Amino acid sequence: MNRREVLQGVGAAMMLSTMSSSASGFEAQSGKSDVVYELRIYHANEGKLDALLARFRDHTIAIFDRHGLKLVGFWTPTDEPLKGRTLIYILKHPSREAATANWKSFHDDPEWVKVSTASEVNGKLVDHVDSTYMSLTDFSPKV
Amino acid sequence: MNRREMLHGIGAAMMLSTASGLEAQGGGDATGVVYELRIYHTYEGKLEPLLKRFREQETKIFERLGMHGVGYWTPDDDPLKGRTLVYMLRHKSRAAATESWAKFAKDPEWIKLKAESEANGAFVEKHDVTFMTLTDFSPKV
Repeated sequence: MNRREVLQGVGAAMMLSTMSSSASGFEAQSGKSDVVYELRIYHANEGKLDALLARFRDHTIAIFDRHGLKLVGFWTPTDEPLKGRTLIYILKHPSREAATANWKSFHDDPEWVKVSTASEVNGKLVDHVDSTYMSLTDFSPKV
Repeated sequence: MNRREMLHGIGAAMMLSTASGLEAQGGGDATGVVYELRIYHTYEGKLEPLLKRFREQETKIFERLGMHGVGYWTPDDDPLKGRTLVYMLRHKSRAAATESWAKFAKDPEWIKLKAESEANGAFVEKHDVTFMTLTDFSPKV
């Protein structure tokens, strides 16, 4: 290696180092995490909330876990008009892309397909679902 | 106290004990803990000042009055993006929630903060409040 080649090598290394430090510096500065939270509100069909809760308790949660769908909490409203017909839960995803990929693998899971079909032989459990993707604010406790 | 008065007293005590037993049974969650999901829909351009107020003072007032913040979020997608705050509080009981909110409404720091921060107009157009209990299979929150 002659002197010129050595200098070229040093130059390239410096550029790489500058580029990578400014890229990571930018990322750190923006303070943005990729993590997203998903608030899901299920409006059950008349008389179907207990069956829906049983399906989550006995099957869905274990299948979620297998596909990286991490549950933060799971609630039921205590007052009218949502009481007895609604369930609310929050998922934590590593990123929005991971959420899309994990929901797809969940829906394709043979156990889910079987459980879902079996639980709805007497009619659909859920009328509709509201899904809201959210980011944690900078002043929020860790969740 | 004659015998008749004593029997009245026992009867009243038994009634009271039955009433509190019923209350415990009807509570759903044996611990009495309730969660409150609050969704604030802000006026145009008012989300940032609302977040600032929460960040700097409001969440601290909540904690001082026994309302524990579980999480504070903002939606990522339209139509809620840039105009909505979603948060969840945990209360020791439903009665505690009522009491804490009553104290909050009369709290001098809150009254001053609200008046000053909203001098140029209210922040929140409407808010949705949903009280909830954890299901038996939920992770601890």
